[in-house]
Amino acid sequence: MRPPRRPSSAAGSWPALLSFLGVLALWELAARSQAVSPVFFPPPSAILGRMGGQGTLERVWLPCLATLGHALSGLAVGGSLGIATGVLCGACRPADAVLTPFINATYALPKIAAVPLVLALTGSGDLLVVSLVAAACAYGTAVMTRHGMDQLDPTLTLAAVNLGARRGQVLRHVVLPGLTPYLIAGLRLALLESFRMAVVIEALLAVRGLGRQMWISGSWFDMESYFAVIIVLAVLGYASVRGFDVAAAALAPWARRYELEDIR
Amino acid sequence: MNSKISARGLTKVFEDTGVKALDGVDFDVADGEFVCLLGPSGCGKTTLLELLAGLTAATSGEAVLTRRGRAPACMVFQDLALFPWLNVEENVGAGLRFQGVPAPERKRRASGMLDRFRIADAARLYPHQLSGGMAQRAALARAFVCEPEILLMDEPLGRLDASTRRLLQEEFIALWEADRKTVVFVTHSIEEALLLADRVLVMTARPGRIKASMPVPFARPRGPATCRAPGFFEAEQSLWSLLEGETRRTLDDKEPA
Repeated sequence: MRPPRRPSSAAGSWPALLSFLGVLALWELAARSQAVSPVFFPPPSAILGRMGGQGTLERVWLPCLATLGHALSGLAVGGSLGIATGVLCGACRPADAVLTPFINATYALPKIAAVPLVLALTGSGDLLVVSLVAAACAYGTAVMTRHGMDQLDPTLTLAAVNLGARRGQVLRHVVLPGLTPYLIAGLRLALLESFRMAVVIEALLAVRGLGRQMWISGSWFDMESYFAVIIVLAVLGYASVRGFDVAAAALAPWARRYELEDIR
Repeated sequence: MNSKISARGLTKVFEDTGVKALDGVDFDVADGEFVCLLGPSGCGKTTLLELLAGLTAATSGEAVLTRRGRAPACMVFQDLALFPWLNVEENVGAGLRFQGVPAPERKRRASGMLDRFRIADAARLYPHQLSGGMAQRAALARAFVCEPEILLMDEPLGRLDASTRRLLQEEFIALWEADRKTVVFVTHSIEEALLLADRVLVMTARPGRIKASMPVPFARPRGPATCRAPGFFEAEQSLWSLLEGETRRTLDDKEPA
């Protein structure tokens, strides 16, 4: 009997946290002793001071909320779209024949290529960022869902039918849970993609958010604010993935193992 | 004979590959009879069970299953087909859930069956956390809890190591002798067939047909001592002589199985 693999716990992140603090300490020393230019690399203590100082609400926290909104609403729209497309392609041959080549052909294109087109449709604003984030998220989830549809075990469907399941029950109790590990994997990738995309578009088109703030601070050599934004972004990315993993492990405790290997 | 299963001219050709899996299979199974299907790999035993279970349609011929109630003919699959996302108790209750049995009754019947199969301690475990023997018992319990009149079993013990297999055979005989359901049991093992069955049907190499039907003469209740009963060795030999040529044909067959 194999023991169940436990999801990586918070205790497992101590080495990462310690090495991160170590880097900060070295940085602090280097900046204070002028080994690196404190203009470009202000000491972490100064950055932390800036995060609590005056004007932080406008410079860091409101943009942080805006980016969070862009990323998560884009993820919700794009993720749903991607999952629906993946299920459709897996379940319906003609749809697969039409959509899959289209997806493969456009997947590799940088989504930024679509900016002029989307800009014409949505104007420059929140909707633009959300649309492009949604597009970026839809691809990964669609491909993962489509793959998951191929991996469904036909014997489980036979078993359910043999036990008396009707069509709807097969969908609800066999197809959906069978897809769950792939949905989790696809959405997890899309979550990270959503932050990357939101920041890039905010910076490129000067839409409110951490992306624009990072760009402005960098251009004005306000390096404390610049690094503050980067730190907030890193924490946001880390915390959201961590939260996602905890939620996934709570909602589908069996999936962590199941996604890695075939079940007898 | 009070026939529970009646197969007439069952033929199955797979449309996508053109492979003929079964060719005119005829047999009857009496109510309460335990029949083992013995045949070389790829002779269509699994296909035959799926036809009986109504999971696939015959190309020609028909199988008539006489049922008194609504309870389905339950199949135990070769790879068990436990739902990975349900724990053992939920897996065992899955059939009742599909049939709309209310939760309290479902829980009561499932936990009764867990006790009967001695896996009550594993009720909260998921399939990937189970040993082979426990997973096997869970799959059997899932079929038994539906109280089917007919059990269709596709090499359910084939994946187990020899000693676990032997113990489970003994448990299974005892369970079956208690309420004598009609069973069609696919196996590769001659010894297992002689230990379990009232009658052994030997199948030919692909396309599968029924080559011979041999009643098993040993008295019940059976157990480890049955293998030492007079006549056991002879029965084993006569089944092997029926099977040997078919197995050789399968081995020499150039087509992929």
